[in-house]
Amino acid sequence: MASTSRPILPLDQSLHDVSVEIGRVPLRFPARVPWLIALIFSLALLLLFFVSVTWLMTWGVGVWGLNIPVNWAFAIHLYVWWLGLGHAGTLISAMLLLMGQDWRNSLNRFAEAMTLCAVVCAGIYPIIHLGRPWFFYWMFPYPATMGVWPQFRSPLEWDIWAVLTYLTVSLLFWYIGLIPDLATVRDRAKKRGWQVFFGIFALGWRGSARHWARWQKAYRTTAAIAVPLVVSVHSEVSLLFASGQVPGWHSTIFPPYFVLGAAFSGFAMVAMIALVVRHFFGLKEIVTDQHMDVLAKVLLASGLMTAYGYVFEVFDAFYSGDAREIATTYDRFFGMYAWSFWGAVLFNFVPLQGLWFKRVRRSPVLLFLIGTSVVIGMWLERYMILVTSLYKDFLVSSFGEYHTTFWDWGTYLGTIGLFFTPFLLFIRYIPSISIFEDKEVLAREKKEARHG
Amino acid sequence: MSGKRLWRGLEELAGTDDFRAALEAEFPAVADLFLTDRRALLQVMGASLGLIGLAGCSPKRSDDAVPFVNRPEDIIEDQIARYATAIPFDGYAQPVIATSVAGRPIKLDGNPDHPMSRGASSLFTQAAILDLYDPDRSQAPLFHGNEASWADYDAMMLRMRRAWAANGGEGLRLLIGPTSSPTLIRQLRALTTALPNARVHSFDPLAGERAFEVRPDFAAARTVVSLDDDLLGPGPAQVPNVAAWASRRGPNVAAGERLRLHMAETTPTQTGSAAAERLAVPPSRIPVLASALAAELGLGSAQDGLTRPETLWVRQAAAALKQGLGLVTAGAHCPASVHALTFRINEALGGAAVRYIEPVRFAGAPFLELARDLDAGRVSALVMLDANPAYAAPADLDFAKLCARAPLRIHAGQHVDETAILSDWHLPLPHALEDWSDARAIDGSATIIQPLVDPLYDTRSVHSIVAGLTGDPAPALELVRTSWPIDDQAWRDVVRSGIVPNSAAAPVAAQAPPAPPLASAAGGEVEILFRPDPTIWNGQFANNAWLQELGKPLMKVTWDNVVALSVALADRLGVGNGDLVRVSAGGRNITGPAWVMPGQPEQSVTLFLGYGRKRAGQVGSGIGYDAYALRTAAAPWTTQGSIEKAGGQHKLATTQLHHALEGQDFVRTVSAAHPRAAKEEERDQASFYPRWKEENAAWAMTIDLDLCTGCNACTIACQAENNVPVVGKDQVARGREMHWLRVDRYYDGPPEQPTTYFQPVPCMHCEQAPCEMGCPVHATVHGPDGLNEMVYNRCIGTRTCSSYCPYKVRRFNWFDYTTKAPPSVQAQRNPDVTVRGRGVMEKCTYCVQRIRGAVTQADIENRDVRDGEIRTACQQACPSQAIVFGNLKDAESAVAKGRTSPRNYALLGELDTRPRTTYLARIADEEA
Repeated sequence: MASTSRPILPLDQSLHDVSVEIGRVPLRFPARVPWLIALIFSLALLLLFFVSVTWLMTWGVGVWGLNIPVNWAFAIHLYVWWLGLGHAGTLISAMLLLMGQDWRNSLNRFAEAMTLCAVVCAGIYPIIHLGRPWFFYWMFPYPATMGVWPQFRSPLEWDIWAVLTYLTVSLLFWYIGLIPDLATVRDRAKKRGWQVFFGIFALGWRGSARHWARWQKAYRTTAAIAVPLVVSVHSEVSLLFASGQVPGWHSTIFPPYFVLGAAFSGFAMVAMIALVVRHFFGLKEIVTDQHMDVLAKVLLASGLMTAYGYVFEVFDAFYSGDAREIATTYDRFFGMYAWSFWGAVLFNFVPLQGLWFKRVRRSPVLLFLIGTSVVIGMWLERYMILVTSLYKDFLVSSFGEYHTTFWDWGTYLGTIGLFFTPFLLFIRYIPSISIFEDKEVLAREKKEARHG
Repeated sequence: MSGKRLWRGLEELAGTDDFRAALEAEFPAVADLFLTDRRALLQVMGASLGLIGLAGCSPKRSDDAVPFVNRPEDIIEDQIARYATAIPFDGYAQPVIATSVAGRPIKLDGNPDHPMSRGASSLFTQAAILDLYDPDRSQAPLFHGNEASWADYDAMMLRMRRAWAANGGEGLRLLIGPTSSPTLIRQLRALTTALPNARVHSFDPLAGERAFEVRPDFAAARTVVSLDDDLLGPGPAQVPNVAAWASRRGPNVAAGERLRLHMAETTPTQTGSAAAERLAVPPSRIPVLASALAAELGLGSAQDGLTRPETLWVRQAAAALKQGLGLVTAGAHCPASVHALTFRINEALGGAAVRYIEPVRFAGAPFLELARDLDAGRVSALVMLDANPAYAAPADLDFAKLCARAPLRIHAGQHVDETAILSDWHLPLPHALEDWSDARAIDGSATIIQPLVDPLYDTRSVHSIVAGLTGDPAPALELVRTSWPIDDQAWRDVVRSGIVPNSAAAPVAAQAPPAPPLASAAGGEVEILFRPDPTIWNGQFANNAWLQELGKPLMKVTWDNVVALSVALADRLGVGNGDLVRVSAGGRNITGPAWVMPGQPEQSVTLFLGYGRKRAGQVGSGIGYDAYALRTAAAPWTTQGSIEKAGGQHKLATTQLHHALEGQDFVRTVSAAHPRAAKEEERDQASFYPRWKEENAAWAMTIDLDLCTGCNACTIACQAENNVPVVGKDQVARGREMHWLRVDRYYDGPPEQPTTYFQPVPCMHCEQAPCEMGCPVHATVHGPDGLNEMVYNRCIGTRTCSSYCPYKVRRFNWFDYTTKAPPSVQAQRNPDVTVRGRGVMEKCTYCVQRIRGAVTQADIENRDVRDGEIRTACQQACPSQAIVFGNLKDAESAVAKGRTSPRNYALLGELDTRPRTTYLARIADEEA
């Protein structure tokens, strides 16, 4: 196992302390009031989501500000954004697991949960944005009586498969990783109801060596499957755009550009949530400043790679010599929606530079603000890519404008409720940080400290 | 409770809250408060009730009508029938073939056998079918606003007749809208003979100052000089004018033979756009130009005070005229002095290209005399037939007050309009497709108007109403038949063919009209010009939703009229498009949205008539400003006034937000120096994709931009043929108009003197279609004959196809645009074309229903489809025949030949989508 020069978990706690500290969260919840406030707020947003979707289903997608030419906007833009947020969970969990980065163990569980909630939010959009959402299943190759199959040349079809695969594997990975801890919580539960509840999901885990051996195999195999999926799913999402001839979309840089941007926003989101969770649940001994420092460095790195994508997107437009690509680039700089381009640049990359400094990386407040900035920046970037390309494409006569409506925002804010409600329930009722993995790390660190 | 009473009840009750609440509970669709305003709400309710009214009278064909085409025996009775008839427009017959399916007239097209149509039609003719199904049409006689019966009216008329018989019709005045009906004219003459003290007045708000009826003959001209005469623009003569103009352009006309158009105009028009030399001048300069032109041609003394561009334009026009085969024409609204001058110039030029004919329309006593007599209390009974003076009369006459001085006021019209509510009696008139009549086309040739359906409502023909003034109101058929003393066989032939042989107006010997002195250019801040609206005309089409939603040819504004002003004037006032401006003249003023009009001369403002209607119906009431409010009897066309910023904004819904060509080559022009339109790199591009395997046919279309005048008849024809819904101003403003075929308009050059281009854009039917690749469910697929097909019931509405479409020709049903349409409007729909529901994509199909119909017919007859056998709706309507459709596999087809023209090019050819719709470049006019 790779070793960090300094232990990532404080060595003055016992293995039992870890179990107690994390396990007490679902069983004797520490931050009832803030949690309740957050839940009420999320439920209100969730209600807004249901109202917005009901309104949408009643009247049609015309309740949004879409038109010809901008016939994709918020729905697709937020689909990409949510999916991007979700990717960090998989990356932190699976990739760092395979690479033996121990610091992940305090973050992976809720990062994975975040992935699941974000993928649900993302996944809802391609369905509700349809003109006739009740026929969404026509995109699946089911045995239709007419013998009609989906059209496999369509990037949307690839998308269906990419997202579904990703969702399934993420769910499996999260659950497999959770099993030992579910057993721990089961054993510590006092009430019969909790014992049964966790007992069922712990799948009879007894912690035998054979269990651990099989578990290790299953967990690492799923991780190995999950990592390439992050790349494939967001590459595929980018092809939704790159496959069209629309200036500003039709570029081979899109797949890596999208994947990096997704990871970037995802790490930012993980950092924000980690900071909030450890603050309210008092888990500073488990999610340490050292963790945040490492996370901040990863954020900085992925941010710089995204910036590289920006630079090359602009460079490519000019290098191609294509007049329309150049016009679209100019339009992003100076046009009607220039605010979205410059907003993206500003929010994504300017505060990020603070992360070069250790003091900033270790300041919860500053790191949280930088994370927020990045999430906003990536939101603007996805908006910019969609709207600035579509509203002025080829024929001057069909140039249009896009203006959001109340229901665009209602649906979007509603998905925030859709994200946080299950997430809040998760951190309330399920061990949100991996107990056994943290114990494993702590045990090893203690051993290393002894043998120094 | 009868349906009619329900409908009437709505008008009275709709204002009360209880009624509204009850209806909302009954019709949940109207609870859609976010999407509909109050008017739209009433529209939905009214329509629902209207259905009940309609249900009582199923459309039925009149048994006396004679179908144009003999029905095949194996086709079920009343399936499809075509009838030759005519639709009156400003009194002139627009000859049509009306298509009726199962007793419902669904489409009007030009009559190919009529010289004034040759199968083509204008946007007004195409849209006239919708008027038949207008749910706001008047449905029963009204007495003081309450429903009455024809028996009540006849009883009243019996008393009046007795009185008139005794005093020779003393005090009886008829006011009649423009008409050319030989029967009506005969009846009116008979009436004034029987009642010598009665008088008949004409009312035509668009009547010009021309003292003679003139037909320009482009076919015989090489140079046409137009003094603000919008020859190619909307109007009753548009179709023959454009056809004649097109016959002198395009591929078959040698370079030296091309018609050259010199235009001096105020508001930019389609004619100005087509002109080789266009001069923008305020209206007061037109007489000056006319006399300068005359002087240049040796008639009269030279003029001083011409600006440099004016001098240049006059010299060029005169030089071109001197080469022979010239023709000078002046807009009907120009002062009489200009008409006198053009007459003299044409005489001097030999007059080869001008024909003077007998007046085609009825000329009654002037309206002003009626106004005077009303004022003097000399009118005891005023009968207003198909005229709306309460809306369109000069504002200084205050017609409402004058009208009240006549003790008995009778109004007959298709709507309970502004005049109807001032009248004691309102009598509903039938639509032209509902009863017998006759009319003359612009050249005077007569058509018998035959009904396709029994009247939908309790209407009475204008002929019967006029007959009822002196005797029994005989049925219209009897009255029309009497006007044509021919035997029954000849009658049948005339009715069937849609034209009375040899009935064109006889040429008359030219007589120089009196030449009043040239009007002096009076002072004033700006010159105000009144023009009919390009789609709503004088206001008669205000309730036609197709015409409301059609972008004005040059402005692309829908659902509104605008105050057109020049770039310089707009700058000075500090206004942009949509900013409200107040235009004042003679102590009156109107406030309307400004429109910065490239090519408008600096100190001039153009106001468009036809809007600001108060009682047009659910569609047309209360939109736009009323330009009639500034018009006076003395100066109906131009006046002096002032303009100021009024503050505030009016949201204008335009179908095109950007207007400059921005250096792009979407519209190309070839010249002798550069004869090839397609660029080298656009030809034979390599592709990764294999070519589609094709079967017998490869359907394709060419659009000749040298012939397109931007008239938009194609757009409305497509709308009528393909059940294209109307979505309303709010949706258009959001960029959601549904037209399958749009006519793009681009400007190039300086905004003061731009070059204007028109480009119709239907689906390109790409051979390598980006849309087909994007659809995940096979809803848009490549057909075996190369059509890019849209499978509505497979579409789930991902809109990927539209995102990928470089031409943005796809239209999406953002809401349910179709089931909420008034039921009577639904009756117009073409049964061969699917009505699209919410959430599906749609687009131009090349009128696939016509293709399949023709292919099936050819299969039955065991032959190939002939070239020209399939005509798309847009092609059929096009007056200049700019659109050609056919099979590329047939090397002899017109479309295949067009594709080999050096002028042929593909729009966005560099994308290698390989469009099946290609364009033929414009041909540059020779330098003067």
